[in-house]
Amino acid sequence: MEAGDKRGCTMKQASALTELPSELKQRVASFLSVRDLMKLTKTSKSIRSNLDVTLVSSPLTDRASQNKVYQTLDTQQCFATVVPNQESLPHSMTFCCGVISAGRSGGIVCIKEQEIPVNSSPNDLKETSFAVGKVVATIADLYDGQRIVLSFYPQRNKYYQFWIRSDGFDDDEALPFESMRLCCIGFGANPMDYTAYQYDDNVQRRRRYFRTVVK
Amino acid sequence: MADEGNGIIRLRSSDGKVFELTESAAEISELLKDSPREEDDEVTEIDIVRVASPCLEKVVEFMKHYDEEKMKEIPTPLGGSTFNEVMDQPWYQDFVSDEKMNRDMLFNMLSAANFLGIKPLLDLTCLKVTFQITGKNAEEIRELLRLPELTPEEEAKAREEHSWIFEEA
Repeated sequence: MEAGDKRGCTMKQASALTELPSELKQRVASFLSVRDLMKLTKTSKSIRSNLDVTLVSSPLTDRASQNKVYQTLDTQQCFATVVPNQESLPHSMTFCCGVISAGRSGGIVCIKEQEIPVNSSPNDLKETSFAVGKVVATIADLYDGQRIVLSFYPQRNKYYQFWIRSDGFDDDEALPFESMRLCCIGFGANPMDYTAYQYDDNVQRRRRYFRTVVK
Repeated sequence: MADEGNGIIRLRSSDGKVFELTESAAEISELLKDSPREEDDEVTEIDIVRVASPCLEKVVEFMKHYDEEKMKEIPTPLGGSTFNEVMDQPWYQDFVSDEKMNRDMLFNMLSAANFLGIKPLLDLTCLKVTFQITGKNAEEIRELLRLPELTPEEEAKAREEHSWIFEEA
């Protein structure tokens, strides 16, 4: 058998996670759930440094905001649509809030994944009904004072709607939530921008968008 | 001149063992695919310095099998709660099973896959490591991965930085 070109390639052998390059640690971490990712960041200083987990935390709305008009009674409402920056999807996004009032028989908060046709606007999602889309995170049987944490994993070309469904809340003029925040978790210095369209009932324009970087 | 894809690639490990595979099977590796070759050569020999033969043998085994049965892409979020639920192809399940691959070998494979630019192998080994971590607490992960412990100050800082996530029920 003839021998052709003979070339040399070198690599460093790794025997533990700490010895792997940062990008490999991040690749492993990209498969982890939010909770397991956070546990991993707690394990060692070098892991935390290499993973370089970044949290971007933005208020969605709150009790005092003008986005509080909310009609209930045997219905369900979409109160926000989130459009992740498709160029740099984060590891995950987490919606957090506190339940002020769960109404007469609890209720459901869920996050639905939606696709829209090319050349359509995310604003078109205002027209979709609750039955459309894929539920990617949900929590049921809400109770007063509950702390809600719902995580989802953004996919390319997908949009995310936040729905609340209940047969009635005590306060029917406002979202029965407080301290609503959306936290993006990502690695490194990648920007984790997103746009949040928040809806008042029958109000169809874009609302606030801002972010706070917490590292 | 060798027909396209029918040539032979010989990979020589750090300890001098040689493993052969077809050009077709080697195509999965970005590094090997881009490696320049003489048109008239039927055999190309490449030294993979510092990759020991046990690891390189497994890498070549993977490349050969992948040439016959492609590995499905691993979706995120993961479509299952166990490794075998996510990776439902028996050969690939078996390839990285605990019986066939110990922890040191797994990390060596992961590193070799990265170096050789073999994305499916990289995904498979990363997924395996992920499931070794999943569901374990920080102390168990530290023990599993032989990580140094956090100082009390570092632990307090970590909890402070990520306190919100621990509110999850």
